[in-house]
Amino acid sequence: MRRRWVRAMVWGLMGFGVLAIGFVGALRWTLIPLAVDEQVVDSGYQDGTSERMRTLNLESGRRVVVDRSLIYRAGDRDALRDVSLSKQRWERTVTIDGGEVELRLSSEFWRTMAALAFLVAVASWRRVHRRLTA
Amino acid sequence: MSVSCPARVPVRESALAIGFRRGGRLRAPLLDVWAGELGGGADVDDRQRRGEAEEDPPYVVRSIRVLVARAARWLRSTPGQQVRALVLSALVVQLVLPYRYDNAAHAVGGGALVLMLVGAAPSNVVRRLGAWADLGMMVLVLGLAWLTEMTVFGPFDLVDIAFTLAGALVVVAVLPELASVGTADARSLVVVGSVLALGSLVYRYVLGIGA
Repeated sequence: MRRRWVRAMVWGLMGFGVLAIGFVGALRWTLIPLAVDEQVVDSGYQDGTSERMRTLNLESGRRVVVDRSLIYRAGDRDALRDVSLSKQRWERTVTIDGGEVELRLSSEFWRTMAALAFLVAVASWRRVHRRLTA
Repeated sequence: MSVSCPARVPVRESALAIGFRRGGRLRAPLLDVWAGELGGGADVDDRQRRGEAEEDPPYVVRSIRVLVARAARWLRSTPGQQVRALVLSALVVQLVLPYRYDNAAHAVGGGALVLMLVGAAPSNVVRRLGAWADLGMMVLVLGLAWLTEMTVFGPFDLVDIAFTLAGALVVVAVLPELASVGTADARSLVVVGSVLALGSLVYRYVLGIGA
């Protein structure tokens, strides 16, 4: 009985861990958890995302990936070049060339989390079903 | 009246011998029944007794039926079930994220990696580890995914690692069963894992979706 609980806890931790890694990764696309205070030198498209994800190359050499909704809310649908970006970590707004833009969780974020949750659910179902039919 | 019998293919018998038994009952999906008509001796005898005229389906149709029956039988085997689970899961991921093809590929890749590792590892090692084998396998996949993401599959993306782990989790769910298979099935797991890994790479880099 105790062994079963330990196994269930380990399994729960693994599933939670997968979702947590995906959550952190997807949240970075919104810029919310990041601190930035530099110039955007260049921007481009992330390969294989149908132009939904954009890359911002910063002055320091750092490269951040953002979803296109941020670009649209900043008013420039094509690029975000030669602008200054400024925000503190976990702030929900970013200052772009003096103007404030709100940071939101995009549809890309929610779709990614839904896909990950589906995979974890499939794994859990296989696990439970295996135990019931073993 | 003569009835020409199609070539006897013991599909139904093989399915009974090899088919996956759940809770003491053998699932006999429609494909199995359809394939069973191809070589079912009793069915042919019944038809003869009833005096029904039997028209031979064309050779192409018979061949397709045989292939479908064999595929259905293989999909019910242990390696086949993993392929089914991974491919169907990846298909749903692709439908949820139609503008990205890397996430589905990473999910399949993660599962394929687990299949290769389990097939290649000595079965007594996995069995002895028990519940800790699951955690150990996931930690191993995390390490390999992190390394390849930093080196081969750059730029580094945590979401790619998450999908690789999620795909691995789908297969790790049945790790005890995979560790208990015989030598032939273990070799199949390695082959299947390799094919899936290669397929996911082709899907990611060659086919591609979107700009």
